[in-house]
Amino acid sequence: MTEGANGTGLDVFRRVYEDRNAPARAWKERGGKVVGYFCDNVPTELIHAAGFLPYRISGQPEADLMRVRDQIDALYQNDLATRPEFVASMLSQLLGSELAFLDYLIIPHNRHAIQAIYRELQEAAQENADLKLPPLHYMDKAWSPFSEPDGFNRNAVVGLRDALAAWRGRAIDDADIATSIEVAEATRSLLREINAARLDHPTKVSSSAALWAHAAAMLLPPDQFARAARAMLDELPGLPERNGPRLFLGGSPFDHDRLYALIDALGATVVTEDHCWGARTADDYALPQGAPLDRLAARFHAAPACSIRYSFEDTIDASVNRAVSADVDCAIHYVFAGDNTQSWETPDEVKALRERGIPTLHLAEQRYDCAPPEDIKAQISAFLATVPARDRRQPA
Amino acid sequence: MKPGEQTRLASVDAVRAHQRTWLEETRAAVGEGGGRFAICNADDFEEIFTAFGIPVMVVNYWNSIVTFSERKGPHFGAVLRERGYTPNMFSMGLATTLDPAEAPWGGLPKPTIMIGTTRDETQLRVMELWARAFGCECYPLDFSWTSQYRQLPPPGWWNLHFSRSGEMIDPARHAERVRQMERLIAHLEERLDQPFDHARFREIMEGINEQMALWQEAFDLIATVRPLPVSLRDQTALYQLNWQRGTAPNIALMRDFLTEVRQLVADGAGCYPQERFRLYLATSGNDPLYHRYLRERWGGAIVSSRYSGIAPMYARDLSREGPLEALAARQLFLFDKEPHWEVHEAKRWGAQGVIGLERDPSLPSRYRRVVEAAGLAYLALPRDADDEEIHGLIDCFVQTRILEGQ
Ligand code: SF4
Ligand code: SF4
Repeated sequence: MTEGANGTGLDVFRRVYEDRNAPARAWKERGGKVVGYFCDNVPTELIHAAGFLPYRISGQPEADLMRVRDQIDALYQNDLATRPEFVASMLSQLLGSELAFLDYLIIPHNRHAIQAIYRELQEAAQENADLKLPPLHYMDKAWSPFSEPDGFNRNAVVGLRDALAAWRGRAIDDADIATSIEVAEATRSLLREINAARLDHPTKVSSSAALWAHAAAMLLPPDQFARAARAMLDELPGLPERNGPRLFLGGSPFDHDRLYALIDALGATVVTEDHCWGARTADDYALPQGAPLDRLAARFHAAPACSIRYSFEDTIDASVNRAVSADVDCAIHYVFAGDNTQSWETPDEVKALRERGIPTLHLAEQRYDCAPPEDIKAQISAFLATVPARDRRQPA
Repeated sequence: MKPGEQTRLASVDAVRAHQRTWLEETRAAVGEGGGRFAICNADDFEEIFTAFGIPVMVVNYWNSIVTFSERKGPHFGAVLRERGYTPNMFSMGLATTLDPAEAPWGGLPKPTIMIGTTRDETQLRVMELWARAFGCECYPLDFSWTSQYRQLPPPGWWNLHFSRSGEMIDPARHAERVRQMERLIAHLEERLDQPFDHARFREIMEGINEQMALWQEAFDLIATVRPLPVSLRDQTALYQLNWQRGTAPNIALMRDFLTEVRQLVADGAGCYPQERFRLYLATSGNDPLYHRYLRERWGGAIVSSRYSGIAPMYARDLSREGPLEALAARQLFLFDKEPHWEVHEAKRWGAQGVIGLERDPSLPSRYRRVVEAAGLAYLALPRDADDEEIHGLIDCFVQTRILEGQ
């Protein structure tokens, strides 16, 4: 890989991934404001339209969870305060000073542990006067298929627009929203190009590189992302072919790259995945034509909250289709301990993939930090050894 | 009566028998064909099915039979693990359908429909999987009182239920919930080929108010008299009357209970002969196994738990809004596991202390702070178990926090 003066596209993505707060810090140095949010379904177009930089909060395997125990768990009975570790690690950063640069924070109604943060933070602040929080906004969502597309969920989008307008002290007009929809579509379409390249025979995009690119799209100002993404796409032809097993990753959301790096090191490649830090964030919901806000509302309504799409069968089918259409040789489902969303879906996904002849490794109740790496590595390499060889320069 | 033995109220045994008979009759009726049956979550949709004349099993109730009454949690946990799932208490019912031979009380018949709640992602998925195991329809509804995290409960919220519940819920969610219920009712009218009887529905909602007024009267009496006339165990068992609530048999059973309580009070009867001081249980468990040790060693009686205070919160003022709006409001906020309320309850019961479950009892929790600030002693236990460690914590608590103050 050649390193240009400003680094290659991939280098930019890696650097952003390694220091995820850097773009927000730089933005603030230039006088801008940063809006933190959780998950992959908050319409960040509205944040851009308000002139703020969106910052998606991610977990940290090395975060200090004692803060969560002392400041949040101590508030509730122990049957209330259950959350997977990746959520705890996000909460921990909000309780400490790591995310002190956030000017505002949006908490969506996704999995229970995420939406609960809205109340947990407020009650923690009532108890502890030293805890300084940015202004919070709860973005509600109806999940069932029986809510009207132009009803409750549309109102939630309007509510977010109005909250952002109040924060900036000025209304957000449709022209601004229309512009940021175009920009966001350009970002998604670059990600889709990267995702398409991941599916090439042979692929040249490593598992980690793909993960970094998706995260960068949620952290960088769009123009910077676009430059780096084009650079990365331009670099691809010069990269080495990856002829090891093509792999689908299902299960819990990976907001760190330890598992991806491990899979790369074993010669296999995650060519697509089903979690909220990967290919799913670039899904095309074919926004209908119409008023800008209605377009955003339509996508917000259609996109599942977390992976929680109704019905169960639709969720399983969507996941299995991702794997099958990527022409993978095998799949790994890695589920964190305490990830109650995945623990009920994964067994059916695994079964469906195996029925289709795709060898699948189900790693249940795993550690969020993927430790100890030797154990994970041993299990995965033993599994990969069972995957039949084939010429991966050709579609099967 | 031997020391440590508890009386059982005839009226509460009648409630226990009623529930079992109800299930047997329901199973027989469904089994004979043409029988209709539904499963839904506790606070979600029972009244609507009752108005349709459809017997309904409440998920949490069934799960508690499996877990607490029959103690089959470990078996059904293994059933789920074998299939790759990570079991929790909510999923016990699903497991009984996956392994019906082991199901308590002969198991559940196949429902016509199950109402899937989006209380949280787990409950939605478990209900969908359960419906699949039965081969029946699952119909999801949005929101519930445990996803009510948008608003903090206002101070003194436990006094607002009857007529001011609107202050505790999000108006947009409430409107959406009403819309979704109307749609579900229309769906049921079509599926069941039967019009919804609005008058009957109002009658049930009024019946709930009547039942809860009787509950309140009985428990106000129980809480104030000495010695305690109704054991914690019987108080908890009575909660079963909240299933099929508002129906004539349930109201009659509640009335019998009140009559029996009045008689016990008149007779000066007590259920815990060793009652020397009172404690209040701020957990969601049943009568704990360590209670016997606490009584026999120290004369400490657990006189009540949060369940006794939750039941009357089902009552709603129907003169202010329609029954459907009232029901939707209740579905969005029933109660909160919150220490100020439990302190209020503990004092009502004349307790000197409160028992809570805390993963790490050494932490200075909010429960501890609020309870102690109210002048009550607080015992945090790491587990609901009856072993030496728990006995040791009890001994220490009684000696340092209860006896020293006397
Ligand atoms: S898994 Fe779901 S709840 Fe968790 S971060 Fe992703 S979208 Fe949010
Ligand atoms: S309040 Fe009662 S009915 Fe509702 S979940 Fe708790 S125990 Fe069940």
